[in-house]
Amino acid sequence: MSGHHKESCGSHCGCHTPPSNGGNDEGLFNRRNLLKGAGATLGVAAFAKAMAPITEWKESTSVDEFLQTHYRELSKDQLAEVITRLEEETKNDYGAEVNISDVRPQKGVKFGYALNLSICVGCRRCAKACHEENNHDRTSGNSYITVLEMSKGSMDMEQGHADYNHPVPQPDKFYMPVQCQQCENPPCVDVCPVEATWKEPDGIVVVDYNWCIGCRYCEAACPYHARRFNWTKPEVPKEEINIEQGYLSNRIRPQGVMEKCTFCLHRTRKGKLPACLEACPTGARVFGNLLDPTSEIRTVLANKRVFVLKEELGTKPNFFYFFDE
Amino acid sequence: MSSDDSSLIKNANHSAGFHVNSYPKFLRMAVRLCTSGSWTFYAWMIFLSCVALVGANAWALQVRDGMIRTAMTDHVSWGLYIANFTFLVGLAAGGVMMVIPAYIYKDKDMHDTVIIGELLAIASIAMCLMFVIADLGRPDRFWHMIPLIGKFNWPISMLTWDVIVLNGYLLLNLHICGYLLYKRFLGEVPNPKWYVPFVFISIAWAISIHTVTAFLYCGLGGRPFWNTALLAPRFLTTAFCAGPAFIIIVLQIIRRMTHMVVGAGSIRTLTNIMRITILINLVMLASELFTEFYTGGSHATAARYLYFGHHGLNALQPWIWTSTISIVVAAVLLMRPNIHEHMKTLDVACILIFVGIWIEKGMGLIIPGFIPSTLHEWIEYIPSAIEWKVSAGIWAAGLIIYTLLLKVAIPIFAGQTGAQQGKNQ
Amino acid sequence: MQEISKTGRTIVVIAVLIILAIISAVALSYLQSKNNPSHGELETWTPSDSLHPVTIHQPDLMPMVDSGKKDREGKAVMIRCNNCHDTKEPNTLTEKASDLNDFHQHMTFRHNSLKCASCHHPDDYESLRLADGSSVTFSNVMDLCAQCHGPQYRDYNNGSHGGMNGYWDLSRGPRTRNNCVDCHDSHAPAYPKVMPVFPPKTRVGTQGAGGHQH
Repeated sequence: MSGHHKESCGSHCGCHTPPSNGGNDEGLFNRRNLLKGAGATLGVAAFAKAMAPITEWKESTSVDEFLQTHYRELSKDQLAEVITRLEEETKNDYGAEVNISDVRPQKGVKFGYALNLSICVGCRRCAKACHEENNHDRTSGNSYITVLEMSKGSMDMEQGHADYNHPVPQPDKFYMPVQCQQCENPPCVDVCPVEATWKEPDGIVVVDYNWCIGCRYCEAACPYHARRFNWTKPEVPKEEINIEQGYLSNRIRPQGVMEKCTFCLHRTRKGKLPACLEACPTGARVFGNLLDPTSEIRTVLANKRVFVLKEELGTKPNFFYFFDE
Repeated sequence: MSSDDSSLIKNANHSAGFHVNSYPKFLRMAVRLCTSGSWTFYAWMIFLSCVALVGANAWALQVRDGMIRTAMTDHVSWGLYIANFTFLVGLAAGGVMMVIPAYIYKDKDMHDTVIIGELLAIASIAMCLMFVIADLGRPDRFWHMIPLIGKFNWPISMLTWDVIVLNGYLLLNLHICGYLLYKRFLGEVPNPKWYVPFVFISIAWAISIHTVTAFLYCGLGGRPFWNTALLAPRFLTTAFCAGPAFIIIVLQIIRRMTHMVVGAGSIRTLTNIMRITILINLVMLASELFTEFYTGGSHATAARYLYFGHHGLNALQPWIWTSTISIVVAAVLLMRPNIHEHMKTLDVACILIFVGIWIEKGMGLIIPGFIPSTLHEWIEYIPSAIEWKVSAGIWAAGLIIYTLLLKVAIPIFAGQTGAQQGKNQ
Repeated sequence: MQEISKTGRTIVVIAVLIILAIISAVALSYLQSKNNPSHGELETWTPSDSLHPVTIHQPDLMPMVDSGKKDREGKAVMIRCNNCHDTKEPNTLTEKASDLNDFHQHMTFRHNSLKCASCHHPDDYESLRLADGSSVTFSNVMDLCAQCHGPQYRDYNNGSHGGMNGYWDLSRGPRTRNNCVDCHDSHAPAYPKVMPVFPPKTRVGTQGAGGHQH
C-alpha cells in the first residue's frame, strides 16, 4: 500500500472510505484523534455511570467477607472471628442480637428421617415451622418443605399438587411432604464446582453460604427440588428472627447463594428434634440416629415397608416414607 | 496463504530483544487499526457500545438487587443466560468447521479465511464467560473457582471440566491467531512447529467444549428431558450448522466491506457441511421425538409441554415451533442444487438456521428441562426485561470483540499493513 | 518429510505436557482434600445410661360437664359426672345424643357402634371401663384405646404415631408426647379436617420483569 497514507485510516483499515487529499491529511488526523479521545472519555464515563449500582451493592459486603476462606479450611480462631463478624452484621442489618453456633457432627451419629404417609394430613404446619425456624425470607414465603397432595392409587408425582388450598385431608388424597433427602450419593454435591456444598460425617448435606458462588448447578441437579436460592437479601422482621442460629444452617443467608434443609442441625446436633417434627400434629414424622439400633427410626426401618423417592436414580436417600398396613 | 506469500521472509531467527521491540509495535498497530475506520465502522461500534452499556447497567442492577430482577425462580433456576451460553459454546465449536478443511484437507480457499473462524471462537468464548458471570449469584466470589487459591472440584464436577475446556479453547485460539497475526505483521512465514500442533489440538478441543457442555446437562438423572445420550451428538451437529451459517454471513460482509479475498471455495465448503449436518440433526431430532412421544409416560412430560403446552401453559410453544419450522425450511432450502450460486437463498437458509438453533439450544432445551419441576410443579418462565438487556449487552460486547479482532486481522492478512510497510517507506 | 516429523515430535511433547499437567492437578486436588483440618477431631456420641424421661401428656383426671348455668362472674358452672349419674340408673344401650333427655345433647358420636357404656363405667361414671369390666382412670385413657387400636398403640410406643416435642437423644434432654385424646376426640376419633396453613407463594417466572425496586 502507499506509504504516504500511512496514518490515514481510510486505506489501512480496509474499508471503502476514499482517502482524503494529502493537504488536509494532518488536520484530519488531529481532529480524528481529538474525536477519538473525546469518544473514549465519553465511553468511560458512560460505563462508570452504567455500573454505578454495583457500588451501592458493594457497601453491603466487606473485604473480610470477600477474602474469607472455605469453612473447612478455617481454624478455630478464624471461625470465631467470622462468627463474631456475622453476628455484628446481623445486628446492623436486622437489629437482632443473635447467637451463631458451630455445632459439630458426632461420630456414631447418622441422621435419618421417616415419614408416615398414612397419618400425614397435609396441614403444612411443618412447612410453616421450617419457615420460622430457619429465618426464611418473609416476602417469598420460602420453606424447605413442599407438601404434595397426591391421588390415592398413584405414586406418580405428576398427579400431585403443591398449591392445594381446601380443607385437608381429602378422602381420595394422601399427602407427601418432600424436603432434602440427605442422599448418601448426593448429585448436588458432585456438581458443585467450588465444593461449597458437602456431606458431613453425620449424613447432613450442608452449604457454606460464604463460599457458594451462586451458579445454581446444584439446584438443577437435585431430583427432589430440595434446594433454594436467595434471589434477594432475605427480609425478616427483627422480632421474628430466630436468634439461635447455626453457621451451617439457619443463620440469615446472604443474597445470591444457595441454601437447603439441614435437618435443623443447630437443634439436632444438640440432641433436639427438628422443628418440622415438633410442628407435626399427627406424629407422621420419625427422626433419629440410624446408627443406634434402639432408635425409633431403626424400628421403623425394621418393621415398616419403607420406600424412598426416585430410588431408580441411585441417590440413596436417608429420608424414608412408609404407609401403615 | 494469501497471494503475496512469496514476499514473506522464511526461517527468520530473532533474539529475544527483537520481540521486546517489535511486539509493542504490533500492539500499537492493533490499537490503531481498532480505533480508526469508516463512518460505517464508527456508527456500528457506537451502536454496539450503547447496547453493551445498557446491558452493563442492567447487570449492575441485577448484582445490587439480586437475581430477583430476573424471571428465574427456584423451579426454573436457569434461564436466558445459560441458554445463550449453551448456544455460544456451539458457535465457538462451529468455528472448527473451517479449521478441519483448511488444515486436514488442505483446502486452499479455506486456508486463506480460516482465521475468521478462529477469531469467532475467541469472541464466542468471551461471550460464554460473560454469560456465566451474568448468571452467577455472587460474581464477586468468582475467584473461588480458580484452582489452588480457591477450591476447584475437579474432576467430579462437570462444570469444572467446562471451565477447563472453555478457557483452554480460548487460550489455544488466542495463541494460534496471535502467533499467525504477529508473524504476518513481521512479514515472516509462520513456523508450523509453533502453531500447527495447536491447530490439531484445537480441533479435538472444539469437539470437547460442546461435548462437555452437553454433559453438564445430560449427566443429571433428575432431569429426564436432558438425560439422554443423544444430547452431546445433537449439540455437535447443531453447532456445526450454526457455526458455518454465521461464518457464511460474516464472509459475505467481509467480502463487501474489505479488500480481503474470500474465495468461493470457502462458502461452498461451509454450505456442504451445513447441508449434511442439518440433516443429521433432523434425523436425531426425529429419533429423540419418537422415543419421547411413542414411549410416553412421565419421561415425555417436558417434551409434551414444550411442543403442545400443558393445560393452558404454553409459553414455550411459539419458540419451539419457530425453531423447528426454521430448521426444516432451511434444510429444504439447502437442498437447492448449486445453492452457493444463489446467495439470497443461502443467506435466508443461514439466518433461519442461526435463529432456529439459537432457540433450540436455549428456550427449547434449557428451559423445558425445568418444566415441570422435579416434583412436577408447573412454573413457567418468560425472561425479564433485565435478562434481555444483559443478554443483548453481552452479544453487543461479543460483536465488538469480533469486529475489532477482524479489524486487526483482515488488513494484516490482506498484506495492507505490518512492520514491512513501515520499513519500506 | 523433515517438517512433518518435527511437527509430530512437537505434538508428542505437548501431549506429554498435557498429561503431566493433568496428573499434577489430580495430585494437587488430592493433597488439598487430605489437608482438611476441619477444626479438630470429632467427639464420639456416647449416650449415657441415665436417660431423661419421656413424659406423656396426661388428660385431666376428671372431666366436668357444663351445667348450662353461669355464676356471678359469668363463668360456666361445671359439675362432676357423679352429681347426676350417682342417682341415675345407667342405660347401657344408649348410643346417640338423641336417646338422651337432657345433658350431652350437643355431642356427636361417631365411634363405630360403641355405646356410652362401652367405655364409661356404668357403676362409676368418673372412671372408664376396660373390656374385662375393670375400671381405669380418665388419665390412663390410653389403656382403654389400646384395647381396640393395637397397631396404633404399637406405633405410638415405637415413636411413629403421635406428635412429640423435645429431644431425640434422651441422654441429652427430655421429651414430651401427646396422648391419644389430645388429637382424637374420643367420641368422634377420626382426625378432623383442617384448613392447611402457609400456602406456597411460588414466584411465577413471568412476573419477574416488574422487578423489585430499591
